[in-house]
Amino acid sequence: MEAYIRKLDAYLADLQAQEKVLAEKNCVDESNFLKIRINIVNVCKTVCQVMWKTEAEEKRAEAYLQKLSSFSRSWQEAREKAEKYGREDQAMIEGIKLDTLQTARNMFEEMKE
Amino acid sequence: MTEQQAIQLFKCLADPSRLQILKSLLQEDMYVERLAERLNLTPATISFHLRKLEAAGAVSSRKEQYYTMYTLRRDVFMCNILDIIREESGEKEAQEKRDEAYRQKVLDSFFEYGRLKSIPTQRKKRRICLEVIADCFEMGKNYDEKEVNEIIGRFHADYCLIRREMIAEKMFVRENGVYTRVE
Repeated sequence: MEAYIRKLDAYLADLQAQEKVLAEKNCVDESNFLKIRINIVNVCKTVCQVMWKTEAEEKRAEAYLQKLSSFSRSWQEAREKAEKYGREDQAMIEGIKLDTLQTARNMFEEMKE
Repeated sequence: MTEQQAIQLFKCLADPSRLQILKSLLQEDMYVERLAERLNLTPATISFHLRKLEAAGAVSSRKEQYYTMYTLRRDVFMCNILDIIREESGEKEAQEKRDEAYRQKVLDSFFEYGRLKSIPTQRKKRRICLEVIADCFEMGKNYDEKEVNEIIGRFHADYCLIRREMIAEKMFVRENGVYTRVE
């Protein structure tokens, strides 16, 4: 788990550095998109740490992945609904969340192998 | 361009990426993927910015085969900023209503049965009351002091003070004992 958390922290640091550059350039919208990514990575980190504290050792990984899947389903539904009602900006935000979640998931699955 | 449209456009332009998009479209019409490649941004981000620009009237779009092409609306940018500032504001009407409401409140406070109860100490309020009395005089007509005092006296006993104040406020000019109402 520690190795995974370190990977997430490195990803976070990279996102935060990019966000800082964009904010200084007054690219407000793009900076906000990065803030969304940063929030999602922090959520994944917190969920992972909680799972490691509360779940039995053999169930932790599965529990974490299931939690990520439940987030993914929820955000996918939100994106489809936003697209259906022409709320393109909201659909984009849900897309960013899903994309970041997938990146965090991929990192975890690579470490498991 | 209305004031609201101008505000929306200026807010939209206050973004480096959107300005870069406009600079690109100044050269030629482009589609999303082309802009994304040129500006090193994702297509999703470019689409986001183009939606903002289109909503603000800065660009227009059209379908061409498989692509949506975006065009800079040059007519919008030919607008003179000074003309936008000169544009009658919706706020102006609200301000005028507030001014009128304030004026009426002052008159209600200081007048009773057509007479001035007391002379306001605050200049702004005093001027409003003096204007009511000044309206009893014909513009450009000459009055002698006795006539002026008589008319003012209908409103308040201290016609001397009111007469002096009306001159100080440039509602009247006095020359050789003759008073003339002025604009």
